[in-house]
Amino acid sequence: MEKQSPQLSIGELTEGYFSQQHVLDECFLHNNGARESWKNLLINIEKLGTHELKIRQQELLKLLQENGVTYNVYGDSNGLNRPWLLDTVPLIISAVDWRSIERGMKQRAFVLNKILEDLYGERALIKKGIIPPELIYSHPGFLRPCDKIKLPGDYQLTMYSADLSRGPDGNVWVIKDRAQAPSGMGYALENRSALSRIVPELFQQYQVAKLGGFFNNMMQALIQVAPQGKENPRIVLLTPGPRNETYFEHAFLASYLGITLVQGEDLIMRDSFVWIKTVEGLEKVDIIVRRVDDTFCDPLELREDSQLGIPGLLQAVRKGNVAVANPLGSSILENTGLMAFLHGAFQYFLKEDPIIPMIATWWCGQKKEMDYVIEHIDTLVIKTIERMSGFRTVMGSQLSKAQKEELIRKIKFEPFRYVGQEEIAFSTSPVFTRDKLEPRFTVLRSYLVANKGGYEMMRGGLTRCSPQKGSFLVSNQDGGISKDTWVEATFKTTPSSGVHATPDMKRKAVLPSRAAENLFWVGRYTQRVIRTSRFIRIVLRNLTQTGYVNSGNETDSLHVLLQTVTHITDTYPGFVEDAAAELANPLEEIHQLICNPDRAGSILFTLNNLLKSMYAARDRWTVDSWRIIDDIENVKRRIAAVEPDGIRHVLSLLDQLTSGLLSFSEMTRQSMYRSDGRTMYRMGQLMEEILMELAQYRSILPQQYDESTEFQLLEALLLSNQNLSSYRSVYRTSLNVVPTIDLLFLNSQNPTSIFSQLEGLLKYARNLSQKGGGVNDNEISRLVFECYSQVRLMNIEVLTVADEKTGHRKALDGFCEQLQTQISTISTKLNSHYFSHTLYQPQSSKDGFQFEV
Amino acid sequence: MHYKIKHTTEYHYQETVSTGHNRLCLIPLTGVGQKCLSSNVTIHPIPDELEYRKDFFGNTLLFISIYKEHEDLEIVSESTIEIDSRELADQAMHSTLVWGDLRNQLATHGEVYADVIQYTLPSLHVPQHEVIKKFASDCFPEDATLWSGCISLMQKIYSTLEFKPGFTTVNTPVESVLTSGKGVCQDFAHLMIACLRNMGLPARYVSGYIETLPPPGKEKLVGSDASHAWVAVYFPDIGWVEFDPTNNLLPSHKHITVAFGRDYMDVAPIKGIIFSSGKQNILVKVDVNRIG
Repeated sequence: MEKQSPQLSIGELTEGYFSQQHVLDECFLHNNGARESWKNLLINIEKLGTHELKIRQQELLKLLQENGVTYNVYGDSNGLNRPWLLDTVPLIISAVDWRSIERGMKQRAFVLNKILEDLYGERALIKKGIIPPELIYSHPGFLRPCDKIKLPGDYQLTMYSADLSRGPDGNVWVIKDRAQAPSGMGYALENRSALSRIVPELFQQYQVAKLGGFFNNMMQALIQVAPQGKENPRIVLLTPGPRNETYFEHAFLASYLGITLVQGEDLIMRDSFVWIKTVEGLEKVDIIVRRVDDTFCDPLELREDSQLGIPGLLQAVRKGNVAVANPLGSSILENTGLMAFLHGAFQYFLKEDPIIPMIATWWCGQKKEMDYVIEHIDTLVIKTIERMSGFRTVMGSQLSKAQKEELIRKIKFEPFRYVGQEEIAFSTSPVFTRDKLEPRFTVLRSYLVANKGGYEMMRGGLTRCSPQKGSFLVSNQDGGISKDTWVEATFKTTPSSGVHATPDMKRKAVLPSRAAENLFWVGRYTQRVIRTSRFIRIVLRNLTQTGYVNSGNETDSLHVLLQTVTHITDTYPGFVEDAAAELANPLEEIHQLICNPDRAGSILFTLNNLLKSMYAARDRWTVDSWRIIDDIENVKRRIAAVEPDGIRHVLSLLDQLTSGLLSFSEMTRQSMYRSDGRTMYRMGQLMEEILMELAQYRSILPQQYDESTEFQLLEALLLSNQNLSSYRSVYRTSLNVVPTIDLLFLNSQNPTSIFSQLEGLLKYARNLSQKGGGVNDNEISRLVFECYSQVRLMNIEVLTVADEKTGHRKALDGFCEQLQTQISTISTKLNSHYFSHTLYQPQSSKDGFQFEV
Repeated sequence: MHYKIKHTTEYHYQETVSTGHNRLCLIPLTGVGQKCLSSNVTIHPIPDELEYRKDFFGNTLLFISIYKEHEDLEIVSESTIEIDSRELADQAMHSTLVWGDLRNQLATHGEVYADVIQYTLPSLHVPQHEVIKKFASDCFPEDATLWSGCISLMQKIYSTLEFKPGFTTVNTPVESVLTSGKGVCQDFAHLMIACLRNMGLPARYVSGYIETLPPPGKEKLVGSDASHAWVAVYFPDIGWVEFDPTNNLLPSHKHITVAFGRDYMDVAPIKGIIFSSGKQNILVKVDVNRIG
């Protein structure tokens, strides 16, 4: 019996809350009171006021967006990122409720662990008739090649997660089990940190259980599965990559736990061990925390079309040389049909009934149950036993007569594939939206890990609510809203400051080759966008100033500048061929080269590639860097919206873009650990700078022009490279080719001269070679040194001699071309020595047989 | 009857392969009516890792990994086999079990027949399909014995499908084989298995070899024999009884079993992953010779 609560003057917020409410609410009672554990929260909300709450809600979303918290949706037209939605109002679970939930979940985890062990072991559950064989043998999650494989330690199910909901009887129910690579714990952590930062007032009077301890437990749990009890195992987190819907979380967890984020291509199986490919060579991997579905993990023995796994992984696993958590094959536990037989399994292993009830489930593989499902189809939810079948869960009540008949026909045809489940009216919890609190159906995802003494549960979890009032759909794919989850602590919890001494921290950090490659390209693309923007900006200025007046000299110089644009963006033929025609309306082409993301070489095209690389290396950036990346995304959207006749407005956007990228570079320079990663990033930047400069110089400098054209060209060139003022202060002469070349190529005081950049490149290249890798290391720095000395020894007087007839400075052109080739070669070598390019394919099989009778 | 078998597979890669992993299912089974007296697999280049393992079904697999660069791969599997005539077929012929009763037995005694039941379920190459069920059902009138149903199904497939190499690949779905009416032994076997499973009956895929005889008066050509595939059906109290729908016959001493599984995928002779992006050429030669 709840105590009678004082009338809350929160009425304004809750007006109409119960208008369509037929189910239990987590917070409010039907008599207008609130549950005991929520009362202080309502008081805190009231103190804050609706107006303030609304402001904080916006700040909260902004913070999450800036932190780069996203949930990707496959095929979403918004591209890669969908912002993560978090409600200001948390879900509160009382200490009393929590105690029984925790007890029940630990019991359930224990039993599921036993089931997993049994199904890949002696299969007594099947032999004793507790679980029907069809249910297991027809499920794609039962992986025969994984039979008899065991993780070291007492538990097979390292991590376990379940969705919980409160039913109409007030009890918490298990809705579904997640047992192969449970997602969401990273979001739970991020939700807590965002909420406590933006709305700390809500926490007043509350003793909320901390989440950090759970992650310590998780690391301990992982260490326990280490091969041969290794003390400092190397742990990696295997992600399907940036296109996966929860990639944010993979990157976030990897950096939070201090383990290395890898994709399948970063790892190889060799000599029955798994190795990570780093820029320094191969390093042994002991434990793989996988976020890749099990069937995709080894194309040799599982799905051969997978590019996300490690060919031969199972061999290493079988030998006990690497542990995969959760083990391959654990998706069998996500079989919806199992729900119908768990009571028997609880009895078999524990002689106990489940503490937490689960959704009543009828598996159609049994005649009686199938008949029941068909007869009661109007009141049931119909699902397939596997998740990946493409069959979308349906509620019988929402089907037309024809649809129902079709479904029944399907069930009768392959009965073992279907289950009917009772339709449960979940409880609701208040979500703050449109200045009001609205009741939304609520599901809590809970997390457990197997520790030495038994399962440990996260005291909290990820709460998700339906996006629409009255809708039962609660999933991130469908755009749900999340909540921070507060478990009332009965005693003061010791503050935990994240993860203590993870094993990886005791090891030297490694840079996977793929990460190295991404960092290299972030460096290259950043400079490409900056340099292209700057140059196009100058050309655009010149174009708009001349106002298309064809006044001799200016046309000549414009001509060359436009051609240079084509050269540096590599968008031939562009202005190079048929320039006269293009000159009639060059703005059109310029608009394309800036704003068309589908045009290879355009600024937006490069920018998209840059963002992709940044995203792929996201575990390497700080929160501050993410804020800048978010700004850059915004500028990108605005550039994409610029119409051809509004091209003048693009100038200020390009400025914003450049300064955004410069602050990103600066931020990275300051925060990035001096390591191989930084070396790769800086080498990318320097090589791109040199290549961009050479493309400009080669397009402009080798041809002699009349004085005024030459003046305009040199001015534009120096301006775009931001060298005009230094030119004036150093050379104190009018613009001339020889001093310009001196400044742009040789001047060691000029930080962007080719010489200075090569000097920097040499420093980083030597960094590489010092790491005791193979002999190849020396090759890169030797190649850089060759370029460096050529520039150092260049004879400007000789190079600038022009052919008397044509005015062409052939030697200079050749010099630039040679440098370009050399730098490209260095890039290629870097690529083949340090980055991973291991395409693989299935061994082809013979098409059919040639047997003839 | 004794046989000596030589099964050679040669791969030629257009681009260098830096690493290759392969799973070989080439070592003949020892089981009812057949004994594998010797088996030897020679691989070139010599694998850096080589490991024998029993799979889920009881077949012997060989895993090999090559870590040196190579442009060619040659796998030669040689074995000596002793075959008795298959007696199970004789027993099955006299079995009076009605096919529907087997279905009921499986349904009511799941725990006893757990292992057999998995062969009644769809698998990658053998889906449930209404077209197939329709095709199969007239071979199984209600009062038919399991034996007579299997025989008339085998005959129906033999007369419906035309043996035509090059028309299908390992990935051609069995229902389109039925529509086009052409295929090779694999397709014949998959279709028959699909029919049986759609009727709720346990059927498995058998991979192996068959001895062929040269046309009268001509000498047998080297490498002219072939890998072959057929079907086994479970008869309670008897065991797995074999049917060869490609030839419309009951396998006798000319059929040499290598392995069995749910379908081709479980027992593909060579399955592998190579680190290379180029094209591959493949050449297979099989010799089955009687000895002694």
